[in-house]
Amino acid sequence: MIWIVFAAMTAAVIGALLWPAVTSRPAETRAERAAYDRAVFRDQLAELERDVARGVIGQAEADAARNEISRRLIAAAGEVRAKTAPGFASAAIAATLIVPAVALPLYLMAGNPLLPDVPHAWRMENAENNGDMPALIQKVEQHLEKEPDDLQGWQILAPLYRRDQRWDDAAEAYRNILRLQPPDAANISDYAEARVMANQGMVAAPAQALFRQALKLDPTFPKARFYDALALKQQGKADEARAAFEAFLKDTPADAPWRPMLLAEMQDMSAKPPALDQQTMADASQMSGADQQAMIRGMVDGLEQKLAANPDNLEGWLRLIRARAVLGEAGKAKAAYDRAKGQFASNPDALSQIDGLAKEMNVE
Amino acid sequence: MNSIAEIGHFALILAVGVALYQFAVPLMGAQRGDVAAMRAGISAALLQFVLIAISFAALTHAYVISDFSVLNVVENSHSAKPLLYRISGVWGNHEGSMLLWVLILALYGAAVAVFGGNLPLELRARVLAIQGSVGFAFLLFIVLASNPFIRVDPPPIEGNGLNPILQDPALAFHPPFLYAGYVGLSIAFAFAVAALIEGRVDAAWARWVRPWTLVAWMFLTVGIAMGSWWAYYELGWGGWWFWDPVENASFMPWLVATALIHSAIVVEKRNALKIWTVLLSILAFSLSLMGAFLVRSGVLTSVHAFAVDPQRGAFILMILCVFIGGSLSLFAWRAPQLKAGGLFAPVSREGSLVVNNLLLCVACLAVFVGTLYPLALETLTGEKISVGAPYFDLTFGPIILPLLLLVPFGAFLGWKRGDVGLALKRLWLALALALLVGVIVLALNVRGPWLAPVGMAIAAWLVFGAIADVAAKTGLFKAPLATSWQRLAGLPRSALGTAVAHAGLGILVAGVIAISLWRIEVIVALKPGETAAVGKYAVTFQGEGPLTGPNYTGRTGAFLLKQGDRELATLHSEKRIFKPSGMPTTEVGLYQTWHGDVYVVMGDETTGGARAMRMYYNPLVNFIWFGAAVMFLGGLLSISDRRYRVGAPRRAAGMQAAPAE
Repeated sequence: MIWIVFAAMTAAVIGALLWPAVTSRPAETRAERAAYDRAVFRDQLAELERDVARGVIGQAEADAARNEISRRLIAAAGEVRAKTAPGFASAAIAATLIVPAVALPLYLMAGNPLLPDVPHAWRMENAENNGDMPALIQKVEQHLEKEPDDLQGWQILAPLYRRDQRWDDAAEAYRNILRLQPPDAANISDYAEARVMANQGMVAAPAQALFRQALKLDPTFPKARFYDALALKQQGKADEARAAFEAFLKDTPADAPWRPMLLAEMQDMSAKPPALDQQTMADASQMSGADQQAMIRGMVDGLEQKLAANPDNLEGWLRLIRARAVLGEAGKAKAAYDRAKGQFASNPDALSQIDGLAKEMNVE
Repeated sequence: MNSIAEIGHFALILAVGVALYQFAVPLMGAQRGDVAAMRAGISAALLQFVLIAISFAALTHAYVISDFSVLNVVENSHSAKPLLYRISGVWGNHEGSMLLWVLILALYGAAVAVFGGNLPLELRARVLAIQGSVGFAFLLFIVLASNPFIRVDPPPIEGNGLNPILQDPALAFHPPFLYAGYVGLSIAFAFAVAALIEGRVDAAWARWVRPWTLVAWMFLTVGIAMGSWWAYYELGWGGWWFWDPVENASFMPWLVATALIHSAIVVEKRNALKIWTVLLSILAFSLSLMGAFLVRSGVLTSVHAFAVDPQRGAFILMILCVFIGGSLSLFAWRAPQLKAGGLFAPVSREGSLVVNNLLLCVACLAVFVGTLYPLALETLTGEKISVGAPYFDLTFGPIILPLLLLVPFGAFLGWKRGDVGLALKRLWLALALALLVGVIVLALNVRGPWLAPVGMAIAAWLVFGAIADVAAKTGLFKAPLATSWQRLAGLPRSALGTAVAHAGLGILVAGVIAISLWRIEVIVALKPGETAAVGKYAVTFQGEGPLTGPNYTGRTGAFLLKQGDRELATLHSEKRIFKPSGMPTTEVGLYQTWHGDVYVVMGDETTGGARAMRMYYNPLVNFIWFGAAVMFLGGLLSISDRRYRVGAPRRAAGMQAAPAE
């Protein structure tokens, strides 16, 4: 029990503080102050004689120094004795209570007495016994670092990342599963879905291409059908999207777990292209599909002009590249990407973000 | 299951209480003449050290075992980091470095408690009380605003890692040395405040202030030199000192501490300059507190500003006001009651040390203005100016040059009243040799700046002057060699230490002058196979390859270094990208010789497959750190001396014997 340790520590501290107080008798006299001075001067005299004996100091200088020290010695002898109060230890003893009086409230405020230590190695060793998910995940990660071709490892990791909403990691895990397994509609769709989630729910062109590939292998695969329709919707192709959703709904059994999600998307058929600002989005939801498209393009152009005037805005450039890519304007996306790279040439952090986005959106 | 981290936390908090006890009880005891209460300060100081050491050990333990339930470990460590950097990570962050700060403070306090047996009991009690008050303020700051023992529940599985630029052996040990210097000045401060409270300066006070200050000065010297060495080879700018505010924050206390170790000699040997020494002690520690404030409050952005937090800044500022304001007020009130000491003529050892003090303080003022003026201007008007090397060359240089000229001279003046003619007579050979060096430099460097021959002559003057000092004291060339050797062995260590430290200063000055005036800088774009000339060396870029380290990747470039037809070495310069942060660092390719370094930095890719390269020949650059090491050695010699000497005044006649120390 940790409080026993704390109590013992406090007791030891108070004991150590009390020791000089209880051991020094009240009647004890201390050396008078001038005695210390005299001791120093006597030591100086002795040192002087040693210097003389060694021949590092001349007789005349030695005499002068001896005179000076002697003068100080005499002056020190003339001092009055310092007054010594009766050595009352009680004040010093009572004052030891300062320590717990300060320490206890501070510790109660700042401490966490019940939290045990958690050594990293111990945690890793006992991961299975404790059902410690983060530790288990790290174990598999370390294993995969050594053997990146272990399909089973990636299959364990991918759903765990999903559960923790670590979408970039999940996408990487599904990419590896796809690499190590023959492609089928399920593993392609899982990979593409993770990329969509990593992209804040936007189905970018490369992800859509993946869903299409899945549909080629299995035209009825629900996940791929759903996201393919969602992509159309996000691109503002409202009619096509509606048709795709409706066709999908027809094939969906009444008890399918994805049915509510599908219905929700169908109800909310306002396209959601790149996030711009809330008010404009609200306005846009009132318009027809073609108007929306025009307005969105107008706003993206506006963003581009703003960036031309004021280019030191990484967030803006990332948004522009993403918007261009989602709108399917590959050439403009590439142009924005090149300019952003030029702008942040000396900033490796920014460059890696720009490159990461470009890779994800297939701009290059 | 008991938690070691919590035990460390509790020990730290107990130390707060003990520090308060250490402040209040001995101070009251000394006032009332209560022996028991005065004694209590001694055990409190020891106890405080033990408690903080437990706390520091607990934090180190958390780092070593990668206990990510401690927030500080999460933020600054990583389980894959090498053990050395897991340990140095303890002080590679704000909270841990503050804990190291108070640990060293408590260590000094405990040292006074243990070795202070020959101090009068009241004086020791008061010194420990002041030391306790400083400890209390900083411990409270740690617990309330910079607590390294804050826990995380549930703990993450991995930490964020240490700033890669700090993952370097020189930097791992630079802070402990620097802190030992900064904090060591607190002892001189505590002695000064105790003397002010008592209204008297004892012989024992005079004897003990200097060794403590000397210890602090030695650590400060090494700490600054290590920081500069690190900046030289890790930052890849090719320079060794940048007059950066953070560097200045450590340099200002060093200048005042240098003044202090000189004025303390006068107090120790002649019982004079006491009031001035008390003031210097206060100033030295005030400057080191101010350095802590500047660096830690986020007023300066740098690699040292671990945590920019206005609350912490305000807290440190408050501590600053209490201690600096309080001690200066106390000085104004009590200093007039201190008895002035022995008299001396203007031309004397004491006189020369006064000049030394004045020049050092003015030099410190120049640095102070150059460091704080831009900050003040930015705060008041929002205007950003940068004060760089030109300012310091124009202000610091002209102040410090006459001081350097005076150094060998002062060492030859007698105590109480000196004889210029005699000093010159003993120094003529050193002077002639120094002038000869100046003439040789002038001849070799016809079109160079005027400073070159002057600077090198001054450096030579310092070194030869120091040699002449030892020669005179041992009767070299006048007495038989065996006698001289015997005298050298019998020479007081402090005299030897003075000469060695002054020679070290000369070596350092030679390095500084050489690199400022004769450095060769070559900036070229090279393709693999191409060669650039750097002075008398030819550097061929052989090509580059990928690089994989434990926690970084990057590119490494190979360079063949040739002098004429002789192949000297293959240098490697690296660009590293550290994994968790993507932060880039540079590794310099360095070829070191006694007369200078060839320094190669691989830069960014340019168009057409070439890379921008920066190459330097840095003449005599290692003299700078070698000189600092020699100065440290001088301090070590001086501190190993027995301290019972008194300055022997020289009579007007009969001056044939060697000057005594």
